[in-house]
Formats: sequence, structure tokens, C-alpha cells
Amino acid sequence: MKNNKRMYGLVIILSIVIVAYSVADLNRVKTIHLESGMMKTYENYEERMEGSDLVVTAQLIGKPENILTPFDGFPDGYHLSTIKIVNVIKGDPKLENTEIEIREPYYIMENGLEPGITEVYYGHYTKLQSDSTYVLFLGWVEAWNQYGISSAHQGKFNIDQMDKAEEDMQRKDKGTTNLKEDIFSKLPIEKLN
Amino acid sequence: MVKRNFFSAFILGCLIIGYCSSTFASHDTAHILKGQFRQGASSLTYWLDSSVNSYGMQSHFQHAFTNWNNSSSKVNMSASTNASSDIKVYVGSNNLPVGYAGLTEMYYLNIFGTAVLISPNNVINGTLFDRVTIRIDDTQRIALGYTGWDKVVKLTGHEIGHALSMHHFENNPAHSNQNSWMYSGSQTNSAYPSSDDVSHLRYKWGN
Repeated sequence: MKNNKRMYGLVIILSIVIVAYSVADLNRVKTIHLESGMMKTYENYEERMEGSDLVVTAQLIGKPENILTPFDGFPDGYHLSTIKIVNVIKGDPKLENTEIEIREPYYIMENGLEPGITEVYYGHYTKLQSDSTYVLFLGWVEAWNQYGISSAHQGKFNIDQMDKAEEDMQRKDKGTTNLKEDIFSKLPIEKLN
Repeated sequence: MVKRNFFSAFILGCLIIGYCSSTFASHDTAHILKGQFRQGASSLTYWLDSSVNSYGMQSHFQHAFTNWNNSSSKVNMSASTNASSDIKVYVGSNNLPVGYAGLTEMYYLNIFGTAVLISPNNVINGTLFDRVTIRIDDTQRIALGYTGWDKVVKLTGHEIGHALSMHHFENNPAHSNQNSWMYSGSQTNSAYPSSDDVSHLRYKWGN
């Protein structure tokens, strides 16, 4: 009788632990911004244009794909995202109104036995949001046969102020805020509409 | 006589206060991380992946490790053939996002011995780490102008500096010397750590 009570108690405790872990696993999101590196930074619009292969206004289409590329047991990756190009500011004008795939510098990984996931962003980058329009500065990488966001948080600027995550992150980075102001003061207005 | 002594003391006092202020401002957490290797820096090991030699950067890394070692008696990083070393170095091509020539990442080892990535923000605030990986993107290194012996050394020295808990010197309050290894983004000829690099290292670890 006593043993049965103990067994029931153990089962109840175990069930609570399993439920708690499952809830934590679904809800816990850790965020990491990788800032210890040598990233090319830009002081002004002219430099930013010079350092890009393709500059466009664009919107995110569909759901980006998380691609993991671990190296020697350590985590790494990127997101493969489809964008619809609204205007071409630098590059082939024939790309207007087309959709292309680009690499965004962030990835998502499971935490192993710890609950939840971790979102890892290069620099102060924040991911493209659907229903928002951006100016994107892209670099072509022959080995990937595709474009990637150039210099993380200095390669993506929200136009319509819908991306609050980007706004919050830029508030902490004076250099990028100044760069954004310079870019928006010099970009042709018709390209931003 | 009294006036002259008072004036001299006043000037001396201003100079001392000025020196203390600038020292305090230049060695704050904008430039030095509170977090560090759990074991300290006096007996660290580093391991160079075969890719480092394949890309011709072995001598650059060895030079940078040696010069950081020579900057403080409390810092000693020695080469190891053991892949479980504290600092692991890799070189690849297009292995980093566009715009990145190098990246340093910190990890702690969990109870299963697995390396878990740590947020640099946590390291700034004091989180200890057990492992560091340094990655160089050789294609972007060249595209971004880190070419020639001195500039490549600056790149390698910069990334090793992060492993030693140094942060970027252009962070506010910024240092003006762009030749410093820890001043990121400038492709200057810097074969040796600057006086700012050395003073920050000694501030962190001791002379």
C-alpha cells in the first residue's frame, strides 16, 4: 500500500517535470548576437554603395529556410530567404519585380538537452520581417551562386518603420544609426516608394 | 612662495586627476570584457587546424600569439597538437557572411562536455568561457583589403585579442589609434600590438 502511494507520487512528480520541460521547450528562445569579429563597417552612403554588388528595395516572400552548417562540431548556419525586388538602386534593372534567394546572416539551433532554441545573429542583425519593405545592400558570392546581406546590420534598413526589432537594435548602435540617416537622405525618393 | 607652492600643487592635482580620468575611461567595459577564460590566461593552449597552413596563415597566427604573450607575463598561449585545446583556429573560404573577414566565438562546456555558444553580451558582463574558436574567411579577407604580412597579422592579432577578453577600441569612448589590433574595420599595417593593446591586456591580466 505504502509502495503504491510512493509510486503514484513519483509518477505525478515525473509528469509535472515532463509537462514543465515541454512547455519550456516550446517557449524558451535564447538570442545571441555575435559581435567579436572583423566586420567591414561603413561611414556613409557613398561607401555603402561602393561596397555592394546589388542594392535594392525589397520585401520578404514566404518562409525563410534555416540552414545549419556546423564546423568541427561547432554550430553555424544561415537563412535562405526569398525576396521580391521592388526597385533596383544599383545593379541590373531587369531584376525589378523578380524574386531572388539571398542569405541572411542568422540561424536557429536546438539547445540539445536544455529546453528551447537559440537564435544566433551575426553582429546586430535582425531578421527580415514579412509585410515590411527594406533597402538591402547585397554582396555576390560566386561560391554560393547567390547574394548575401552585406555586413549584417549595416546591410538591411527598414523603410516603412514596421520593423520594431531593427529599430530597437539600431538605437543601441550610433554608427549604424548615422549610416542609415545618411543613406535615407541621399537615396532617390522615387526608389523608396 | 606660498602662492607658488599652491599653484604648483594645483597643477599637479589637475594632471593626476586628468590621467586617472583618461585611464578609467579608456579601460572600461567598452574595450575590455569582464568575462574571460575560466582558467585564466597563464596557461592556455591553441590548436591550428590544417586549414590554417593550407591558406598560408600559420606564421601570421604564430607571430600574433607570440606578441600577445610578450605583452604580459600573466598571458601565455602555447601551441598544441591536441584538438581539445582552449583556442581552436580555422581558415576557410566563404565560410562567413558577406562582410566578415574573421570571427571569434566563445563557449562554455556543459556537464556532458559539449561546447555551448555564449552570447558576447554575457561575456561583457562577466560570463566565463572554456573554449574559443577563431575563424577566418580567406576570400573576404582579400576582398576587404587584409593583404600583405602586416595587415594579415592585424587580423589574426585582433581575433586572438577577443579570446583574451579584449573588445573593439572604436567602441565609445573610442581610442584614436587605428593601428591598434583591437581597432576593427581599419586595414592598417600593424605587425605588432599598439601601446593601447598592451595597456588593455595588462589592465585585464596584469603586467
